Amino acid sequence: MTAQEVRLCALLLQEHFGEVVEKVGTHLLRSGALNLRALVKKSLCVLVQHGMCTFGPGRRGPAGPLEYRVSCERILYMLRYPRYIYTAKSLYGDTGELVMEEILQRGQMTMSNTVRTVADRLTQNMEDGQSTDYNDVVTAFSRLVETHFLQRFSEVPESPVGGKGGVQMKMVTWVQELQRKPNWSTQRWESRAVHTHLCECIYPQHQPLRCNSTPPALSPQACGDEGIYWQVNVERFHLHFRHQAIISAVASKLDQTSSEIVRTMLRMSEVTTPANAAYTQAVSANEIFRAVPPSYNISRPILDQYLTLLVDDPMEFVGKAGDSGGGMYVVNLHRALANLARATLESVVQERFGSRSARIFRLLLRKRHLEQKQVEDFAMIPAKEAKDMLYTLLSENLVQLQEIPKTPDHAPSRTFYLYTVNQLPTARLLLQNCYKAVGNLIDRRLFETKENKRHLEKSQRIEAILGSLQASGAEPAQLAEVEEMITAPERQQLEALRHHINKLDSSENQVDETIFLLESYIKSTSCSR
Amino acid sequence: MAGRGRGRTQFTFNVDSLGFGRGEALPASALVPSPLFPPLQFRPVPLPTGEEVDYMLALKQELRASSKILPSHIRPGRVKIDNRVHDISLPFYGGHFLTFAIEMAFFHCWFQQTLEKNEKNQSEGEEDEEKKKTGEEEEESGEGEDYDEEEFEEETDYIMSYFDNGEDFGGDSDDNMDEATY
Repeated sequence: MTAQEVRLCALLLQEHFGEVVEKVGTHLLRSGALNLRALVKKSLCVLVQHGMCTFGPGRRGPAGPLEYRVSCERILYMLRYPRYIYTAKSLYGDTGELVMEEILQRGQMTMSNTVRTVADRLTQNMEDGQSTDYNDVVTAFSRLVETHFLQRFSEVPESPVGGKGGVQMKMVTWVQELQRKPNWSTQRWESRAVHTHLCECIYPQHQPLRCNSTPPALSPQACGDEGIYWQVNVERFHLHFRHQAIISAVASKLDQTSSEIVRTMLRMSEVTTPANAAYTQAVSANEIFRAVPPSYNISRPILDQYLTLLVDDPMEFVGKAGDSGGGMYVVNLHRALANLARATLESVVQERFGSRSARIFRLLLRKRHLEQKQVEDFAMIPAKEAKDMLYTLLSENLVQLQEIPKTPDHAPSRTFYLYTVNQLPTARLLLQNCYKAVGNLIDRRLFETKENKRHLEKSQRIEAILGSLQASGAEPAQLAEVEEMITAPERQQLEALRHHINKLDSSENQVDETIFLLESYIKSTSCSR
Repeated sequence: MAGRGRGRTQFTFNVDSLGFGRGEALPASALVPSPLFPPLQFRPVPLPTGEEVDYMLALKQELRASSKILPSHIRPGRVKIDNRVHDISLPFYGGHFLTFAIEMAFFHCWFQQTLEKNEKNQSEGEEDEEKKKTGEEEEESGEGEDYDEEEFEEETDYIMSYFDNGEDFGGDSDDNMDEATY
């Protein structure tokens, strides 16, 4: 049936039977005869495996049917996967990057499976004759677990009432088992031929091994980690990103050395500071002096000067918590996040409305409530333009108007009208705008791809033909002939399409960084309440 | 002149807000529909460039491409378990069946069985892939149909031998749908 027919059916169903029936009906129309239950169950399986859906006893209690809950937050984290993988790469190298990529894509995996897949991929990319030592991959995996970037997937379903608290408890009880890893023998596989034999012995349904060396039994059961599944700990990554944001803010506001000092302080208090705390644990200046990397060559009095500078800075990244041990210093996490969010808001206003509107916005953030006349005076902008800008900002909901009546009848001539900016609601508004922006970017990308589908398919087919010809050793004349099948204007169009899609993808990554900042700020305010 | 406009041509609102004064020419009528998007006052800042940005872009595109061939990618219409590229080192989901609700556990058993049956078809699947690459599309549609028939047959097995137990156990009264019989 045609798209128009399906659309009409959807509208009719909705009119007569409601939305739910409409959705089910439309889906069946589009996909033909299905066992709907199987499809729904499969989709739920996928979601549960990736940790986006949880289930537990429903409203009717333990005897009733189970209820499934999908977490919106967790789905939105999918935007950030490239960032997680890149961080793993910068911290733990290529091996760490591949481990993270595998686990993110599959949702949860056993350690033996991960190590095997990653080693295979690494060996594929290396030249013939070289091999991957399983130990390298195991080391990378262990380090990721030790620094909490990977965590155990909780096996027992948690109750939705307990919610996150329940999961935390389960995590704690599994702490002892966190260190349980498979018995891995450390044989080195020297050549590709042996490597293929390895593949054969991994998959038990294939032929048994024939080479002389005794390989370990690498099936999951023998490795002893059947049933132990690992998933990515996104909260730990977020902590890392927050620290990175604070350090780079200090670097750009002050200088590189101060940022190093703040980095040292954050590193020292990482383990002792509880999650979502407003301040890190206090560290003394003596300890900081010992822990600063020696390449910076900071002497003790210079360190003290830097610390004083950090404390006196109006951004208040660092605070002084006492005088023992040469001075106890803390990093003000929540305040730093609030400052970062404020800077984001100001820059958004500046880029959209110009620097004078940004001046008005900053003024209102600082002074809270101002009358129109006062705004014009403080911002030093002529009255007409100031009025215009204020009204534009008001229409975009970035600035609010507060009425203070002098008389009970609220007469306009006898009421104070004060302009104000509230940081938290404005941040929430911008966050929703960001979500909408990413949605639009994805929509546009899909639209562009659909428009040029024919071209894309043709180019893919030609590439495949070229590939197979090259593999079978064809002459350059034949290859040139095949390449000419794509005309020059088509090539240009494809190039333009690629350029657009790259731009849209890059923009998605960029908007996600803003989303992360605003989300962290909003979460931090709700924690401190 | 005084009193000329009094009582006759005075308006109750401020005339300035109309945008034109008395006696002036009316604004030109609109000949085209108003533009779809409001005109941008300031151009957006250009995207950041650099190695890090390029690498993350490549990662994102790779992730998108590879997630399409993973078994987690469920396509509507044909209830396929594994798509063309089989990854036989992992089952459909790596989770232990206890991770899922008991009503899914039976589903998992059926799944594993069907998985093993499909693994036998893996070598055939790979050959077909190569033929597809050289552009013979008839092969692809033919193979797709074969898959469909196999699927439907297995669906029937699932319904008859496993699903009844699951239904009684879970006690889910929400689904009144009869099992489709093919």
